[in-house]
Amino acid sequence: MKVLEVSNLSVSYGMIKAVRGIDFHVEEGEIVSLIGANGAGKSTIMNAIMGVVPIAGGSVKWLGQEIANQKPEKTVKGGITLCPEGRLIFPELTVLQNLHIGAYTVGSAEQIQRGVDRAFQLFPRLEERRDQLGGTLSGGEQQMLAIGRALMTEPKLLMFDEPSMGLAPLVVKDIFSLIHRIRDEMNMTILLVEQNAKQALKMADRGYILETGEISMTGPASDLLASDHVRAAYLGGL
Amino acid sequence: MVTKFFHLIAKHQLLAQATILLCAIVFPLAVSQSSYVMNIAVMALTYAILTLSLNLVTGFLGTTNLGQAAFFGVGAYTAAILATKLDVPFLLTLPLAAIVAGLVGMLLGFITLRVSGRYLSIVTLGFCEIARLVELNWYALTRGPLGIMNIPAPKVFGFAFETLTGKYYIVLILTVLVTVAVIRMIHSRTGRAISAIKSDQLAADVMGINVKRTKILVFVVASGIAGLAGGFYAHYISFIDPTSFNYNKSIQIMSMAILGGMGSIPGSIIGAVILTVLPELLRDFVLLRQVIYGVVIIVMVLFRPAGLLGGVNFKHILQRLSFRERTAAEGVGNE
Repeated sequence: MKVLEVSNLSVSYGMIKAVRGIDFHVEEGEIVSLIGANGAGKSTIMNAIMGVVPIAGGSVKWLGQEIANQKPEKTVKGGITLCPEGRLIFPELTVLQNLHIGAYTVGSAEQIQRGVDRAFQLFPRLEERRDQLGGTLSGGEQQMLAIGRALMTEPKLLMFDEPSMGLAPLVVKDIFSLIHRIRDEMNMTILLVEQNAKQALKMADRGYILETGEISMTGPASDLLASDHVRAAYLGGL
Repeated sequence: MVTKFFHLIAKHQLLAQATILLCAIVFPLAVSQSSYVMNIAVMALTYAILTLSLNLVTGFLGTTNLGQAAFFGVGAYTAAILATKLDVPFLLTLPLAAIVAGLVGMLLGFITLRVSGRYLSIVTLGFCEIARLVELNWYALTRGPLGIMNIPAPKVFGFAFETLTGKYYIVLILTVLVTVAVIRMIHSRTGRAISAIKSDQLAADVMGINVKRTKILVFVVASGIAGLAGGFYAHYISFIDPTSFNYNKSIQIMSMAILGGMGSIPGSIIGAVILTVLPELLRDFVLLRQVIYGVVIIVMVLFRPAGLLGGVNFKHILQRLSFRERTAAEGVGNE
């Protein structure tokens, strides 16, 4: 079943067209990677789906409902959560408070507690630092916190915007295998944008290649990994 | 030395709070109710309320606001007009002053959603001037430059607080109530959202926080508190005119918030007290008075740019201390 269906989506920043009429979809339980270089429009697509960036044209359907230009608050309540680029941990809030902020739209105290327990179980490191300010965590720890925070709403669709950014290669590997685990254990659907094409395609079911605001290629992730064009453009040659 | 002092306070926060409150309660007796000193004390506490209100918007939400005096004025005029023209009792003028100022604050809140940074300074400054000009020119309501006279002293359940000491206790109660309210707001779910918006609006948006609604809420609450201070001030001083609520007042409140420390609740109170008392202490140096005042502020900004208590979080200091003690104890145990 297609849970997310984006058709002919375009987004502009003033005169500049960042995304020009792209189409893609995500099936339930899939991991889909959007791959592209800097400025390809990856983050813009995520932000547009969330509703934090206005959509100029096209449609975004979530579970059959049109959600284009919907308030982010509603999108989150509807079951989509974004783990934003650069993690965007709140530096002046403690680890625990950051998790609570992730559950801002969640009314049930039970679910909030479950989310905190889950985050601490996934990342024991966070529990050790629960009262420490978010700004004092290392990059890897911040990414853990960002993931823990994103899981607080128990979303149906979890979107990751460059989860590997600025992290050591070993940590990147951990993060990617964790995303896989989250999908399997929590029955989530995952949409991921990445510059780290190799890793992102390795773990994905399907992939889309974005170039300057348009989709240039699509297919099963393994096909894309094997494609000469993708290898030449994104995987550093052969 | 400063660090040691902070450590001491962090360990005995409740004791420190109780001591300060007790000192404030016995203060009138200590100065044998001298009217000069009592007047300064009442103004210091009024400014403390104003600084707390400004700190909500500027310190916690991170939005520049040079228009806080406008809400002080709106509150004062509301209370004065209701009390003199309609004989509304003090217990009603005070909340009404807060409500009217809060509604006007909502208006400014909506405007400020569209601008940020230095443009916001200009917008809020302009707003302050508009409020003053309305007060100056709406003669039928405000008597313009003549001001409103004979505003009755605070009266609660038939008991008139005519004496300075009585008024002092009223403002002291208001200060405590406002302080508790602000602390509760900051530590609530909304308080976390406010901090999130200050750090990163996009991230706050993505978390599902209604950024607009939260911002406006902060403006309404902060303006309401300033209006409350204004309402008290009108009944206290018994005469108000537009000159008391111009942008100079806004900047004075801003200086207090900066001196005390942005985003610090005890800092707001300390900043307000220092900058109310300091000019009085300097009265002996007639000519140099303003110069010394200015130098104090410059030195402050140079050596403690975050303000006296800016960035000082007693809870975190306590955590660090207990952590250090724990590791020290463990270290000894291992040997």
